[in-house]
Order: sequence, then C-alpha cells, then structure tokens
Amino acid sequence: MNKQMFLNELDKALFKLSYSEKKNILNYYEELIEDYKENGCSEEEAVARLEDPKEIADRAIGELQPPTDDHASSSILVKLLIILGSPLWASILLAGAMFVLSILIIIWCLPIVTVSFAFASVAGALIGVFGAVPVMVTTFLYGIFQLGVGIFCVGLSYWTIRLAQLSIDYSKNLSWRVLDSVISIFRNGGCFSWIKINGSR
Amino acid sequence: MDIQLKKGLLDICVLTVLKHSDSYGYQIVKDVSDYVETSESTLYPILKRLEANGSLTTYSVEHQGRLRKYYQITDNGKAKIDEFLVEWRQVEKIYQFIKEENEHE
Repeated sequence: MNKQMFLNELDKALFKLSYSEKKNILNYYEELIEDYKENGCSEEEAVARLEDPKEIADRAIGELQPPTDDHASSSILVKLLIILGSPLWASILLAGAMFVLSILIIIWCLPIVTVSFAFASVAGALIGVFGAVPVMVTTFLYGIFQLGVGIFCVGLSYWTIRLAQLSIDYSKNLSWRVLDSVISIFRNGGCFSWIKINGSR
Repeated sequence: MDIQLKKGLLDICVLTVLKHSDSYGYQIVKDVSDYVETSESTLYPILKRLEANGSLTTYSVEHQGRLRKYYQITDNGKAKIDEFLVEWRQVEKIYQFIKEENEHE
C-alpha cells in the first residue's frame, strides 16, 4: 500500500471522530511516513511498519471518544415539557441553523469571487486568442492587440485558477470546522443533558 | 509485559525522552523503543493523553517543505516523572519482599 492509499483508508476508518481529531491523527501518520522515508525506507516499507488502518482507527476511537453516558431514563414530566416547549426551542434551533447557514454563505463568498475571476480569465484567454484571428483579417493592429490581451489572459488564468483552488480548499476547511463545532455541541449532549439533569432531580 | 503495567511505564518513558530534549513522533518512537517495545500507534494515544493532562505542549517547525510537530515537556510533566520515581521506590521494596519470601522456600 502506498502512503496516499493508507491515509485514505485511515480517513475512512476514522469517520466517527470529529474533523479536527481526524486531521490530527492523519497529520501524525503522514509525518511519520515521511520521516521513515527520509531515513531510508521506501514508502511501501514505511506503510508496512504501521498497523492496519482499521486497527489504528479502532484504537484511536476507543481512547479518544469518551464512553457515551447511559442517560438516566427521563421522567414523563421531562418528555412532556420538551413537547410543550417545542414552539420555543424549535424556533430557537431554527434561528440557530439559519445563523450557521449565513456564516457558511459568507465563507463561500470568497470562492465565488475567485472562481468568477478564473472563469473570466479563461473566457478572456479563449476569446482573445481565437477571436483575434478574424479581427486580424479586418484590422491587423486590433487583432494583434486582442491576441496580446488573450495571451495575457492565458497567464492570468493560471493564477486565478490556482487562487480559486486555494480559496475552495480554504472555505471547505473553514466550513467543516464550523459544522464540526456545531455538531459537537449536540454530540456532547450539551444542551440536552442539562435538561435531563435538571429534569431528573 | 503486562499491558496495564506497560501503559503507565510508557507515559513516563516518553516524558523522560522529552525531558532530555524536545522531540518529534518518529524520533520519540525510536528512542523509547530502545527501552520498551513500542509501536507508532501505541505512541499516538500516549502523546494525546499527555497533552490532555498538561504534561506536554506542542509546536510546529518547518522541515523540508512540510510541518513537523514537536513535543515539549512541561513543569507538570517533570513533576510526574518525580512522582513516578518516588512511587517506584515503594514498588522496589515490595519486589524485594516478594523475592526474599520466594527464596526462603
């Protein structure tokens, strides 16, 4: 198995963990494989030294994830309160979800801009270069100018496409971190365990 | 070696290696392996645990175009090493006792 395959397998096996925990583990193993390579091992040898990705994942999940608490059975009263209070907490939840959605939209504005620039550069390049020929037939100087602009756009396209790729990665990363923090509020039962604790007293 | 025993020992071994100097994953595995059989995967949860209980901190250094994570012992970690040494004097006494009783048969 090569490094990328190993990391992909590990990534899949670690699906239960949060994005940041998963990233930590993947970085750790990638670093380790690179260090082995630096010290003379081939990539295949380095990966062979490590355990099977599934086993690594099981161990990591076992150690990192706190055992899920056995929630004491909620009393009827608590259940009733939750139902009665639903107009309140459901609308708060909805407002929260809209807030998170607007944050995500703002995050993705950046790639929308950079991708538009990339499209514009590519369009300019194509139209400039290929459209220059018919123009050159009528007025040579204009055609040359258009060709020049087209070639400039080819170069520009390279950079705008790279910038677009970087901003997409950046936004993806940021979006996952935002969603991650939101999900961990619920996974750790933050809000709901509070209700259960107070209900069972 | 008994797994539970090994677990406690490994934590302190890692801290001791770090007390000598800051180090990174690959190097730590190599250094600790000289004394206790360790694999890369056993090391990761140990490092995470030690970071969680404040015995070490981390920082990143650029190395040949990639980031390498370095681990550094804290005062808390150094205190844990001292605690371990004190506790194991007790263990030594108990070992002596068991050994002597065993030999008297």
